[in-house]
Amino acid sequence: MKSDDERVAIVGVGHSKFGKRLDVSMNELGWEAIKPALQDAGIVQKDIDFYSVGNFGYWSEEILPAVTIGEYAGLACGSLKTEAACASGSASLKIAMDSILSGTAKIAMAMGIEKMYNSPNGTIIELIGRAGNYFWEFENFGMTFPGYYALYATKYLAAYNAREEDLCEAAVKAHHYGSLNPYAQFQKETTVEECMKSKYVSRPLKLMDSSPITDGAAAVILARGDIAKKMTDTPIYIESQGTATGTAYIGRRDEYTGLEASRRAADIAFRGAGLEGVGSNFDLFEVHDCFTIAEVMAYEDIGIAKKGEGIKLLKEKQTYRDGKYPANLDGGLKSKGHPIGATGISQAVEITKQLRGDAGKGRQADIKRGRALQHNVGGTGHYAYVTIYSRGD
Amino acid sequence: MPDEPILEDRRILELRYRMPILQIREFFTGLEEGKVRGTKCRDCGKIYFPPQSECSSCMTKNMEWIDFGGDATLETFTTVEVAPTSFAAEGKYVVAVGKLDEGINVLSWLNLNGTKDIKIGMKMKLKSLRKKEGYYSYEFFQE
Repeated sequence: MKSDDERVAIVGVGHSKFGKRLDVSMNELGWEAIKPALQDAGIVQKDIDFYSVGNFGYWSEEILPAVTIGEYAGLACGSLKTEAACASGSASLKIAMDSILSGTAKIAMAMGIEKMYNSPNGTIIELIGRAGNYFWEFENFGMTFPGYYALYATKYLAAYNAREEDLCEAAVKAHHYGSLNPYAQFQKETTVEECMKSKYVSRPLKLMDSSPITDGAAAVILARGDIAKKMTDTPIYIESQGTATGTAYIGRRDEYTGLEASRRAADIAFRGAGLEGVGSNFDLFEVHDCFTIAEVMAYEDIGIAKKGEGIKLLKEKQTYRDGKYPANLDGGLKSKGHPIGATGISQAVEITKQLRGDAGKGRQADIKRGRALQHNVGGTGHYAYVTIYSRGD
Repeated sequence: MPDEPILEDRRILELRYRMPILQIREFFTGLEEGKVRGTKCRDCGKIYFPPQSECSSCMTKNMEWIDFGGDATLETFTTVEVAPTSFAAEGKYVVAVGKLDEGINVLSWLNLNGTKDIKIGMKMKLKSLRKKEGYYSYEFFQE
């Protein structure tokens, strides 16, 4: 058992409204997450020893978001920007956590932000499509982000005799919980029929299989365990984090029905938390559902479903709030929105609220074991971060 | 929330990269000769595609070029319906991953000329080809 000063806990969270946020600049959007995080932790800017900003960028004008947001927010301690594609937020969390574990900081802030609507849709599709292996996959073949996941979806559906309708079940669940989350981009329910009628973006994936383009920011304040205990009655500890990097070239993957990097990251996280596996150790999961197929593969990669049985889990509603493995009760990337660099921190905010019992009506999980798992993937299994949180009881 | 007012940027940036290919020049000369190639480590036998000029396992440059036979099996595929801006003129295209008989997976377009039902497991041939714009690339063709 680690002593309190060898642990890191979340002591404050902040989350902006996700969506098309052309009413605010990047710095204003960042402040929308930082201000409530500071207030929640009961601290002021000078209490923070280090901060990190998860951001992918390119589609918005500021190249140094850690500095411009820091200036707006009144932060002057050490900082940096982290990039791990769609897992940039988890990378931000890692750096802030490590700054405490290394002894150089007592209190740190990890935030994530993305301002995607500052560019037109075509530019965004172009830029995310380039984020695989530019030279061998984009230059000649024009890969897109949905295209990558569609390669997995085609193989998965064929390998396990599944239908597109089965994937749409993930969209239905996401929109159900999104409809209950005031911070979500889409706050309305959907149906399998509506999902099936939506346009193909990259066969077999349709618009309703895909997470949207999103502006958003989220922030968490971290503190060394012994300090966290003095700051709040409900510190949420980061028990462990597993990380892994997959191949850039998709041809170098061994299989196309799951993400090997996710499985490795999960294994490392389980071992770090002293667990043998997923078992029945968790009250809640946040999984990376940038596409419906991604959610299904996530179930199998973290071990709550056997290979090929992720769709069965959905069909049986086992990942709904009252099921065996509640997942993405905030609407997930699919309905809450997926502001690339903010997603990992948004998941951490949701888990903190859930473990505190503050998630809100209709979507609060039953917290018995006091433990939750976050699965955050960058690209198509290019980066993988799995983080385990607990109430420490 | 209101979308206006917006300040439209007056500074336009055009990005066009210069990508060095000196170390893998034979890949591109191979395409012009009708061959798709990878590199193979003479020490450990590992085949590299994309080609590398140095084996990162053996830490040696003891590499040779091998011409792929081209026989492949379709692993998976997708039809890209919403293309990036720089591919807007291409219409819909099929991207495939094929497993070469050499055991290497390659991602490229599946040429739709004469292609009928696309099915995982179908036999394909990987061939180099000259694009209408004049540069060389490689694509899968249905056998």
